[in-house]
This record gives sequence, structure tokens and C-alpha cells, in this order.
Amino acid sequence: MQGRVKSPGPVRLDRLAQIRDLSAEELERLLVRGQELSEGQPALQFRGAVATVFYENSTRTRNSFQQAGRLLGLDTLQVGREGSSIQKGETLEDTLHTLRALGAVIAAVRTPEPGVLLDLPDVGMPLVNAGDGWRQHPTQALADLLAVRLAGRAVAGARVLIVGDILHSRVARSGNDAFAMLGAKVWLAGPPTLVPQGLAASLGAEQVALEDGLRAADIVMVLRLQQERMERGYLPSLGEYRREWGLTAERLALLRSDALVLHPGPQNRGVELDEEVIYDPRSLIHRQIACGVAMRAALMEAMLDAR
Amino acid sequence: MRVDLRNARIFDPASGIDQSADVLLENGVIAAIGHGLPHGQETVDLAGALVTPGLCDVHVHLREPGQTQKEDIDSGLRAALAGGFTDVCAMPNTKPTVDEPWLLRQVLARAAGHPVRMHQIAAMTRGQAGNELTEFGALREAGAIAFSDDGHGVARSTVMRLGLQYAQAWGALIVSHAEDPDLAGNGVMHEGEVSFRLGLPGQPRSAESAIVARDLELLRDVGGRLHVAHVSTKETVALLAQGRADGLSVSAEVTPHHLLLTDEAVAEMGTLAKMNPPLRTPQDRDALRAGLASGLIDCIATDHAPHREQEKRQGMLAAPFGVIGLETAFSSLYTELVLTGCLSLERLVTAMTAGPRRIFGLNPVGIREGETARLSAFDLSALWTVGSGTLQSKSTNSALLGRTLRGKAIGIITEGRWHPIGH
Repeated sequence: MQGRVKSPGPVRLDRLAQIRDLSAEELERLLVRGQELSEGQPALQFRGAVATVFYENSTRTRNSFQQAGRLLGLDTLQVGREGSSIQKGETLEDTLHTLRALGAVIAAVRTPEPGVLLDLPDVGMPLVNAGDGWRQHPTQALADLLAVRLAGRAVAGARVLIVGDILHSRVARSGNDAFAMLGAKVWLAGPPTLVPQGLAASLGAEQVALEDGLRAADIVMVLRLQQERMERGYLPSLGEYRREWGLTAERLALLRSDALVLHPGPQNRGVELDEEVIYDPRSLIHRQIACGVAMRAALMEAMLDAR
Repeated sequence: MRVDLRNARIFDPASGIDQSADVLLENGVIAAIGHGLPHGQETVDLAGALVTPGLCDVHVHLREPGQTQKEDIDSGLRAALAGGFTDVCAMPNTKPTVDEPWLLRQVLARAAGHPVRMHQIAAMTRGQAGNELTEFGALREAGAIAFSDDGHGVARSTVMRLGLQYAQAWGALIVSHAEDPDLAGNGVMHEGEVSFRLGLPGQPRSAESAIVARDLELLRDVGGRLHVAHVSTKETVALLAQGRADGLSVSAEVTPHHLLLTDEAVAEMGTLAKMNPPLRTPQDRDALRAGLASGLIDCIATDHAPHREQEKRQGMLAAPFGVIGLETAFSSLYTELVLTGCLSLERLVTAMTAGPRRIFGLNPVGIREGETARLSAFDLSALWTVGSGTLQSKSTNSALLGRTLRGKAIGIITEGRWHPIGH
């Protein structure tokens, strides 16, 4: 697992639709490589472009894929929702073939529709799920794992508490799978309208009371609360959410001194967490972004090298 | 015209008959059942095939007018024939909706002359918008056999209450698509462990049972006759049992897919397992099987709902609800319920023949001397695999694609003639 291997090793993967497309061993190998890249080791170089096809808004994930592509010597191509061919009725498959003809050698795809990459036929290049509805956001999970690793902490045996809108969260689903695959115990907490009965069990996780979880967790992942949940009636107000489920400065004091705090960003300060949490020494929030670039580079390097 | 059927296994639970015999038909009437009967102008050797009263499906979507790229009356009736049905009842959620007598007459005229008879259910409210009742009297005179807003739940309780009341002037049947549209929301599958795991919006079980409970209370309140379409939850089964015990005039149907599949199928098949109401859990499926076996659920109906392949390819959120079912209904239930000992052949046949006819007021079909012959014949030893090449429907959105089934319809008798099914 250690060593100065230049090649990322035999991670044979042509499509990452979900975390469970990777074996635990492949996950470990990618993390080793991600760490090397984050420490400044040179990446393998490729010709062509990374295409970002985002049918939902995103700034940080799109930029992260593009920066990762630059580390691999790739140009960037991008398709967004506005003015894209999807509005002219072109299918995702057509769009990906077009991008490939334009020079793309790999694509990151974000759709509101869950599971799109599971059914899509081969398009002649590797594809990475950059978020599909409520379902999965596997590269965010990779970034989170690397952030924990760089903090010098083991995932095996760790207790991971995920707090917030689990029902609608792809970050929670892929994070749950990734931590569980590496041997962590996952706990879930949040409002019952957003963590309904049966949800934890369906993910192989356990539902806990927030403050019990905060006291015992090694890793706390705070989810972003979408404004839309208020409009759909899941919650009466942002203020009540903060009071009952927010990681406030007061609740921060419950955390163990060696706990770690993650948040996929962008943060709603004063809602799911207070300003103090972001700058607390236990917070990995700022490191997660750089980890995202390193892990996306490690993943795409492995996929392109295998082709 | 005399037709004689040789070497049949005549199976008619309503008449208590299960025997090997020949049948002689004279001008569409069963003239004799027995051995050594004289030959007619046409002789059909059934070689031991099962002959039952004609199958009747009270819930199909034939898409004409308006969506004939998915199916039309001709292709839909050919699919019905291939499944061994002699009668089908078309739902009115076409484009436009069948909510006017002239349109209903026109649609029925399109089906005339086909070996399979199409009956028409009319919309309960104008445009199926759930607000104003349609002209039940005029629609009945035009041929409507029941009234339904199927495809949509009736959200307004007052409208359902008025419909149940108004229909009593003719003793007419109201068919309820029991769905609270507010609770069902944008759900694309059953809400539960599988939807949570897949990250798909779910429809809670209460979206169905809350409306069944409401409709039963309306029935208790104002009277009328209610038929609950495509029952999918164990709670609905329990409510029906209570309603029956209380003497309410309520009947129910169940689809082959709700009897055979669960929400796990969504994880395996994607949009081919997207239907409304959604596939539920194994506990629900088992409650439906028990309800069918006991007779609490009166009939099996396919909810045959053709959609084009490109529509079904859109993904779970965007793809339309529904699967086809006419051509696989008998074979799949025979294979997976009768041959496994879950359901008697007698119950299967009754729920596909006498059960639906009684509820919908269609002429009973018995296999007795002097009765008009409407018969279905099945080769119970045939083995076939469901595939796009084996289907007559214009669409191939079957949840059973790839399954190997035992038993296949070989022909039907209607209008005094033998209509063989080509393979």
C-alpha cells in the first residue's frame, strides 16, 4: 500500500456510477495515489480534454474536475443546462458522442436523474458520476476519505455521524457507502421528516440522537440544508433547524477533542453550522476542496491509464 | 355454421366442470358436450388443451385515440387475443378523454368486427379533471359499462361522493384509482427501504390506503357500487375485508405484476418496473396473493399500459408509469402461482372469467349446452420466453421480459368461430 509507485496500479474501471463500483482495495489504492498527488508528485500526462456535462448547477465540482484534468494535461470542454443541446432534445448519449468527437477522452456527468450512468451504453470513453439526483456523488466521498487520511486518521473502526437531510442527499448516500466499505460505523441524525423511519436501516447505518452522536463520533459530516426543503414543508423554519439540528458553537463543545468535521460545501452559515465550526481546528472543510481535486485526478488518471 | 372442438380439457369452475370431452358449436351456441359427437364444417383438434370460459380483462389502456404510437385498438386487441382474452374493458384516459357519448360510440365502432370484444369504461368526470361529473345516463346508453377517472386519483372527496350517489340511478359501477395525489407527490416508486437506498422519490403506502378508507366511508355514507382498481398494499386488503364484512358493495382487482414482483425489481430493471401504483414489498405481495386466493379480491386485471421504448429510456424520474400485461397475464400467473402451489387453477380461472364479468355486469359465460360460446384455449405444456419478438403489442414495456413461462393461449372461440393464435 505504501511505496513510491508512479503508476496508479491496476484500478480497472471504466465508469464510476457509484461508490460500490469500486472494491475496498481499489478505494485504498486511489487514496494512496490521491495522497501522492496532493503531496506534489507528478501525474501521468494524457492528450485530449475532460468534458464536464452538468445538467444541474455547480461551481465547485465542475471547477474541481477541470483543475484535476489540468493536472493530467487535459483541456476542458463543458456543457451546461443553459443553451445546451439537451434543450433541443439531444440525449445525454448523443451529447457524450459529440464531446468525444470534439476531443474529450473522459467525462464527468451531473444529472438530476438518478442512476443515468448505470444504464447508459458505452460511449467510447470513461464516465464519472458527478452527482445524480439524490443518489450518489462518489467523488465527493473520495475527497472526504482523503481529507480524513491526510489528517492522519484511520477510517476502519471509526464512528461517522452524518447530520441533516439524509433523505435528499447524494453526499450522505455515497459517503455512507464509502465509509462503511472501509470499515467505519455510520450513524445518521436529523429531523424525522428528512431521516424517516427505515432510512438508516436501508443504508446499513444506524439512527442516533444528535447529541449522543456528537459526543461519541470520530468524524462528523454536516450536510448542506437546501432552502427547497422549507418550501416543500419538511421544516417550519431555518431558525428551528439550527436550534434543533445545527452544529452550533454550543454543540461544537460536545465533540471530542480529536473529532473531525466535514461539510461538502457550500455552507449555510448560521443554519446547519455556525461560523465558529468552519474555523475550528477540528474542521477539515477547507482541506476537502483540495482533496477533491487530488482524488478526481487520481481517479481519472487510473481510468485513462486503464484504457 | 357448425364447429367441433376435439380432445379438450373443459374447465369451468362456475359450472363445476373439469373433464375431457369434445364440444360441438352450432351458430355460436354450445350444442353438445360429450364424446363421439358429429363433425361440423370445421374441426379443431385441441390435443388436450385447457378450454375455459373466455378470459376478461377489465382494465386495459389501448391508447386510441391520441397516442397510437404506443398502441391502438387493433394492436391492443391482437395482444388481447394472443393472451387468450375474449373481452377487454378499455379505460377512458385517452387523448381526448372518453367523456362524451359521441366519442365513446366512435371508439367502440373502431373495435367492431374484431374477434376480441372491447367494452368501454367512460370518464367519471369531464376531462378526468376531477370536478364535474360526466353524463352517466347518455354515456351508458352509448355503451359505457362503468365510470372511472383511472390514471388519476379523485382528489376531491365531494366529487367522489357525488359520483357514487349519481351512479345509483342506473346501478352503475364506479372504478376508483385509489391515489391521494398530494401524498403520492412526485414519487416514482414505493417509498421504503429500496427507494431510500436508490435515492428515488417514493409514494407512501398511505397514498393508496387513505383513499380506499375514504371511499369506503363514502360508500357507507351514501351507498353505491365501488370497484377498487389495481390494489397494491396490505392495508388496502385489510380495508376491503372490513368493507365486505360490513356489507358494503365493494369489489377489487389485482394486477399480475403486483402479484409477482416487488419494489426490488426497480433496482434490477429500472423503468420497466415503474408503474402506478408502484410495486410494493414482499409483505404486500403476499397479502395480495392471500386476498386473491380467498376471493376477497374478485378479479385479475392487467392494467396493460403500453409505452414506447424511448419513453421508457428516459430514466426513473421522467419515464412514464406502466407496463404491458395482456400477453403474459395467464401464462405468468399459471407458471409462478399455480404451478408453485400458491393459487389453485380454479381461482386463477375464476378471477379471470366469472369474477370480472359479474362485477362489470357482462353476460356470464359458462361452458354448458345451450350457452353462447365464448371460450379460451391454452396449451399448458407450451414453454416460451417473453421477448420483443413474441409480442403483438406495439410496445414492449413488459416487466417480465426474458422470463420463460409455461402455458400459452392457442386460440379463442367468439362469434361462433375458432380464432387460432399464430406463433
